[in-house]
Amino acid sequence: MFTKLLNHEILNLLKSRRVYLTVIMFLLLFTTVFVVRVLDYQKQVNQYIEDVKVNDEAMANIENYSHITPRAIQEPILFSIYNEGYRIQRVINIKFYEAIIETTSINAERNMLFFPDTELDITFLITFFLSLFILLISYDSVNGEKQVGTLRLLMTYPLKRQSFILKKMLGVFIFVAFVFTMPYFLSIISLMVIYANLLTINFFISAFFYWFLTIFFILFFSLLGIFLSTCSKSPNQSLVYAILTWMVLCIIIPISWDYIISPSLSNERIHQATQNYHTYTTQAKRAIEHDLPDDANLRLVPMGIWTSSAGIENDGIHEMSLWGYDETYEQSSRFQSHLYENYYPLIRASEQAYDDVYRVRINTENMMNRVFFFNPIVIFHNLSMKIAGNSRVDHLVFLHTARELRDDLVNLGATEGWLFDYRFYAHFKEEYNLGSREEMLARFDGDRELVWEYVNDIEENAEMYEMEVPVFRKYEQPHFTLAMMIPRIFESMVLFVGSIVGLWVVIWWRFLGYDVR
Amino acid sequence: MLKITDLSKRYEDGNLALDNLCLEIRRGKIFTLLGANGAGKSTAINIICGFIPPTGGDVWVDEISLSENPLLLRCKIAYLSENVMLYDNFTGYQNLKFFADISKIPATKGNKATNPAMKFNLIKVLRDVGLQDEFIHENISKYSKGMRQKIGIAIALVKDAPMLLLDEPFSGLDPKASHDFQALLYKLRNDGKTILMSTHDIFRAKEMADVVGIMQGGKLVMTKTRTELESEDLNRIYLDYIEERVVMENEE
Repeated sequence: MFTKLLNHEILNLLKSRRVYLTVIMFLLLFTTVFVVRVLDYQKQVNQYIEDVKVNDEAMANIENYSHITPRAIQEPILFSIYNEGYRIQRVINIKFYEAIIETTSINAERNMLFFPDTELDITFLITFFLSLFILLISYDSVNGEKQVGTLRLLMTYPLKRQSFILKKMLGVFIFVAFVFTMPYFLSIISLMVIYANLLTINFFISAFFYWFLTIFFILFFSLLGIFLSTCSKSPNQSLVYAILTWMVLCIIIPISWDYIISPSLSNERIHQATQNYHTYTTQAKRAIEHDLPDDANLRLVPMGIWTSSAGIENDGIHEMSLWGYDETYEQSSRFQSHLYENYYPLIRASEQAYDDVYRVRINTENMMNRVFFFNPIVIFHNLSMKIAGNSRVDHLVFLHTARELRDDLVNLGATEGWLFDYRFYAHFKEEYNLGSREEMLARFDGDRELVWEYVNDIEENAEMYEMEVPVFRKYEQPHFTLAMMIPRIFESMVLFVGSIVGLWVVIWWRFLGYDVR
Repeated sequence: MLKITDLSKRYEDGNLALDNLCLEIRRGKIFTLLGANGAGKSTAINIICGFIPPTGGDVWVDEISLSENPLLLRCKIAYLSENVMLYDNFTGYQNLKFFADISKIPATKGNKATNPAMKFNLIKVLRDVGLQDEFIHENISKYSKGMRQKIGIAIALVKDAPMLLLDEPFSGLDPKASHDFQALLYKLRNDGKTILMSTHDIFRAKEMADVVGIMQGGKLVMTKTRTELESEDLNRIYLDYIEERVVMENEE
């Protein structure tokens, strides 16, 4: 009997003109956003190929290695079609002498929509539009039947009230879940066709988790809609409630978070981390200034630009400059070599201190978000970024990896170096004597793979070569396995599921005492 | 068949809508409840249907108690209101089919779950209640009030409940539809159904009812059988009660 009720509910939704229009609108939007995002991704891929090519040419034509700026170039993430995330910076220039990590902003166009910080991606479509659509479908599911009177007639049949409310919830949920799942899987299949060579098992893991998360999102909003429909006798009134609730969740809370709460966020841990950062930068600056060579021709030389630590915008404090000189290339080079050899740990420590500020801030924001501003929209947004692998923390990992690559080279005594195709080549001091890149390439007829085989061979057979082996590292994109994904999203999922259960209990309790007349 | 004992209902605002109502209707009889607005007719029907809980007393239909087994009691009653409530997105047939599908009587000790509606040919039922063939597969939104009423009675018929509860069923029907509906109710009574009907229509009450009850202030203040009423003017009696009530209200 329950199946018949459920079938009837879904059929009833299918036959409603309002629902029909809503679904058509969602499908149109989904298709548009997907096409825009695929084109955008293609732009990023083209840009990436261009960046690598420019790097390649620069490396090929270089005569003096001290001019080389190694770059860590982040590969575009295919799943960014679904969630753009915090991938604003994707190229990192690693400047040795200045001990600076600079980043280049993404060149592909950002598709902004409504809010300055919001991008047109599938996540936005789900959080902004799908949530509204679900509420528009479900706002009158109980009081609508009450108004027409069918609720009364149903209650004269041997149906438990629980069955009725369960069929209402499942009807909306299954219907919307299907409406989302259909184009979603079609989009995945399209990607399988377009980018067959780029797809990895990780992509499918992300795709599955993203779908799973969206299903929870749909469940939450279906319940919310049904809850609102039990809050008022008139469907018109509950429509107003639904729109107001949606505005609070989707517009007011996120905007007040971005522009009011987050900027004024302050606690002891952030304060302490910021203090540490200032201590290190001041220490580094003073030490360097006292150590300026006598022939210094003073001008402002940027020492560290840490604004690159993704995400924190609008604060210019994280920049350190000092009076140095660069009258001639030799002077500049000598000075910077001097800094590098003597102050690298100090400069590195201030970089690290800044990253700590950033990390503490992310943790604090997440905690505040979860505990005080519980909002399924924000949780969904954050979780989907974690699933896509382009959250703020992921960007921090990217920065760290690049810096660690530089650390390795510095520890090995490299004074020059570059990063190419995610691998560092380095021109080391004489005792390692790997030769310059060109010498290496010339030795292997320009075949980079053979160069690397040679390097790997040295690494693996250190004893045979009787030398201290430099540790080469390759930058790798962080890829998420199932085992890594689950702990990533577990904590927030618990909150999500908890809120769904809580809402369900409230609806259950409300409807048991609901006046059906 | 239907037995109501000391049924009371006091709403949250303190209004006493039913005051120890006692009533008994025998099988195969039409009982008409008359009364002014607020007399408690609809409240009584709402309680029997399980829309609202009573504050005291109990209802039995076929020895099944509302307080002890509300779900099973619902299998014993069919309800038809002034405005027949149907799903506008479906056709008359689809509405009937849906309600027939959910008419299943749940399993009890020694009895398996059964669906009495299964024995009916739904199209035939729709024809029997007088719905024209061309409207059977037409959307409900195109139906007149009389046609909706016919679907409503068809739904009640296929539920195959021994007791019919009708809340102002004649209101808003044109004379032809009223006449047809009345004939249908006679047929049901002759088939052994028990009918409890609330109405404002005194003439129809007198014409149709085997027993007429007048409610006032949540109480059943008068019951008279058809034979007793033959020599009396029901209209006069009813107005007397109403006027009495007006006097009582003025005194208060």
